[in-house]
Amino acid sequence: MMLDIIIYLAFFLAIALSYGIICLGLNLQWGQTGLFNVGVAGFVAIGAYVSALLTTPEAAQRFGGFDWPIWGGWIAGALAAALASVLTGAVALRLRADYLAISTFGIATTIHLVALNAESLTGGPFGIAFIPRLFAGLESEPMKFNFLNFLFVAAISAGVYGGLEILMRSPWGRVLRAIREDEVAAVSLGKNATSFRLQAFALGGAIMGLGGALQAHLIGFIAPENYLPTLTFQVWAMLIIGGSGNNRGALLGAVAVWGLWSLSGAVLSGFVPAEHQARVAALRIVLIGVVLAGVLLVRPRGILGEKILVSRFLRE
Amino acid sequence: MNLQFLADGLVMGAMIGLGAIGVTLTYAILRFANFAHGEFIAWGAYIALALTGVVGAIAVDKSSTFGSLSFGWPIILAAAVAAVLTGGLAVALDLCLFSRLRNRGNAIVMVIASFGASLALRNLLEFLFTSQPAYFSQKIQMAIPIGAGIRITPDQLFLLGLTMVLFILVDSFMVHSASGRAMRAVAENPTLAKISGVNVDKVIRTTWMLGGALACAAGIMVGLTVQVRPYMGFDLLLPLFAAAILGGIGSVRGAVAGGLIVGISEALAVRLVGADYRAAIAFLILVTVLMFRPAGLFGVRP
Amino acid sequence: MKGPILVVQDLQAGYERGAPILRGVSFDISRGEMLAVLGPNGAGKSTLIRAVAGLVTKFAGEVRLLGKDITSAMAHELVRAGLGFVPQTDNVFTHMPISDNLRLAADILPKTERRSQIESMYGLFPDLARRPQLEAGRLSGGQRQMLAIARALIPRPQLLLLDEASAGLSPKLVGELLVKLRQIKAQGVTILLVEQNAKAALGAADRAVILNGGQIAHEGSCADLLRDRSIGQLFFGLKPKGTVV
Repeated sequence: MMLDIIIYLAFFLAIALSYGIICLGLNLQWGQTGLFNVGVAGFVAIGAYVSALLTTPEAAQRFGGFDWPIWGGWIAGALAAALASVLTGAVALRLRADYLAISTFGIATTIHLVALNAESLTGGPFGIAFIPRLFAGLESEPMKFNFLNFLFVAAISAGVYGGLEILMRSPWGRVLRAIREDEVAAVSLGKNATSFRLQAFALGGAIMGLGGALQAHLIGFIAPENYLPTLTFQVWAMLIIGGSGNNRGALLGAVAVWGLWSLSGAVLSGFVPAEHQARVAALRIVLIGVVLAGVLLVRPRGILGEKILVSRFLRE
Repeated sequence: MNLQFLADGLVMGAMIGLGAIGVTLTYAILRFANFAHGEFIAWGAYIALALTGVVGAIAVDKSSTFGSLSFGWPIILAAAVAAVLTGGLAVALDLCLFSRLRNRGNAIVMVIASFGASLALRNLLEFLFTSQPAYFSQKIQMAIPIGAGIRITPDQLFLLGLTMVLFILVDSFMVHSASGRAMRAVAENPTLAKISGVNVDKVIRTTWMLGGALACAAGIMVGLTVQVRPYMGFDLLLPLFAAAILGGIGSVRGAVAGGLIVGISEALAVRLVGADYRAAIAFLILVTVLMFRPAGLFGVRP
Repeated sequence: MKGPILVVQDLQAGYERGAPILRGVSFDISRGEMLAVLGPNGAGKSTLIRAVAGLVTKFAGEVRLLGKDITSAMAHELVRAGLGFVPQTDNVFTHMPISDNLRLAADILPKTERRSQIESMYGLFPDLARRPQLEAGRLSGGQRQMLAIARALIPRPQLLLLDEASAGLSPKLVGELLVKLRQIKAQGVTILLVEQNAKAALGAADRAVILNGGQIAHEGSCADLLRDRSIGQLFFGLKPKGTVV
């Protein structure tokens, strides 16, 4: 029994940290650069699908069968997400914040549509199965398997976190901060604000793609229904509750919100008879929505945030 | 080429237009993109559905419908009450959530909150009614040919006419009434409106009330012509935003025109490339407008 | 009624609590007079008039209009209480036609009076009557100013506040503006005028207060002030002759 709990905990933390990585990407875009991306699910989906398509074995009537190594899939997934971010950013970044929100929302919707309908490319509503998992040889030993997976994900999130912290203290990070604080001054010093923002947006997108790829290989199966606006909302909730503008907040928020989500899921399957589970599942989302609204009203800076970040767009 | 898409597009476009009016007014007067507007459409439809059931249970003559339309008095009555209730829902949401975030001077927080509210409201519907589609009437309507190869059901024809009447009423309200003037004033310059004697809080309430009521009408229309399900409003969000931005934020006429254009474009696209990617059309229109003419057709502010 | 139409007492106000721009201002305005508020840039003139109009937070002190305490009244309530305010910028609805600008202002009047009040504004400002369907944004600077004043006058205010009404106007137009203001004053409206153009203001008004650093530095009749040479010191921060730097 105790063993089962530890195994579950390892699995839970691995997933939570994979969300944490996605959240770190969002923090770079929003917390550090002030870009309001409401299409997170789309970039996560790109990372997941690209990695899945490149690493899965041959499947009937579907593009794929390249059998790439896992790390190859991840890099490709992150790059693909970065590319998508660059394309999106080139068009949408110069728009005011809420137009950017609507545009990114539209992009994620379109990506979901493609994932759902382009069956010969993405497997359609059936998704992609048999995605190679890390430490696949150890699947018969759940303790080792889950623990190693967790350690691996923890290492990657530590790496992304560390990398971002170093980046923000580097000259590049200083310019980004300068642009955020006083764009006019930064531009007058010869800094191309748009280019920097695009870089931040692309890097953030790449990190989101990496997170998505990671998740795909943790679970072994993906489907379009994993990449609905609910995902975008979960990641935003994680960032805001944890403390936007703060990388530690991003990771903490991910664990906290994923914990709330999993706990409510456990309570649900424990207490609610099977035939009602689908509809009561909807209440979990209501719960997250209400908690987020509560945080926004009562403690907008979240758990670890220092102050509410005011986007440059708001000085109108 | 078969012109059927025009009829389908106009009907769809009329519904999008009704919803877009609320979006454009909220955007102009409250200054944020309300992602929860789709939920007013869905809640409006469900409230009307529930009330129709109640009225139908009480009414003596259950089978009365108007001519070849699929509905009768119960739905008309339910619709009127539902519109008021949905307006009330919008006002209540503002009271509980948006009004408290407004004074922080951070429009992004409002959008995030509206996204969250939208998720909560939609899933509450799913909890209450399950995700199974529901219908106002079990009767199948026959589409009547009206020339040029176009077929349309009596319901669609009636609703199209009704929407046109609603559009004229709302436009007239905005142009000629004191309330409408006050709304236009707040949309342009809230401070100047205040010192001209306008009670901005009252204008905000009116905006929510009107937007919610029109959304309810749109929801009932969709419910009558297609079906009622929890995602019905959310699936219209992109077309709503596209229509409002295409028409120009703050312009009621623009929202109507934008809605019709989006509706017809979607129907045409479905005719040409099939229904799978229908939702992407609104997105394409949106991106095109934002890239080339962000102020929209009748808009004043980019 | 007897007594001053506006009483301001120990007013402290500003945009951020803890950084008040007005640091204890007190003065009166008598019925029917034209009072000018002068002073160097940053003295708080605009803040003062906007605080009276209900647009700036008052931290301490009291404001009484026609005997009623309006310190915490909301801006739109003040219009009904007899106050009219013409801001310095953004003082007309540029995307609405002239007629709608006026109709909006008239909406707070009883239905029977609206038409006649609008007509009397067209009478007072004939330029506006020529093309009432014209969008206010297409008007020239001077015409816009006239529309802004007309808009404020429609609800029949007893006290009219003007924030730098002469800003951006040519000397000829400033002259015309002051003539109009005297006409309005003659009809019984009390006027409070914030002005950068001290000379013109002193020539038109009855009394003036000079604001500096958020407090009243001087007060007196305009005739007296025009004769007083030390006024220059107050405006330009010049040291009085003979001081050691």
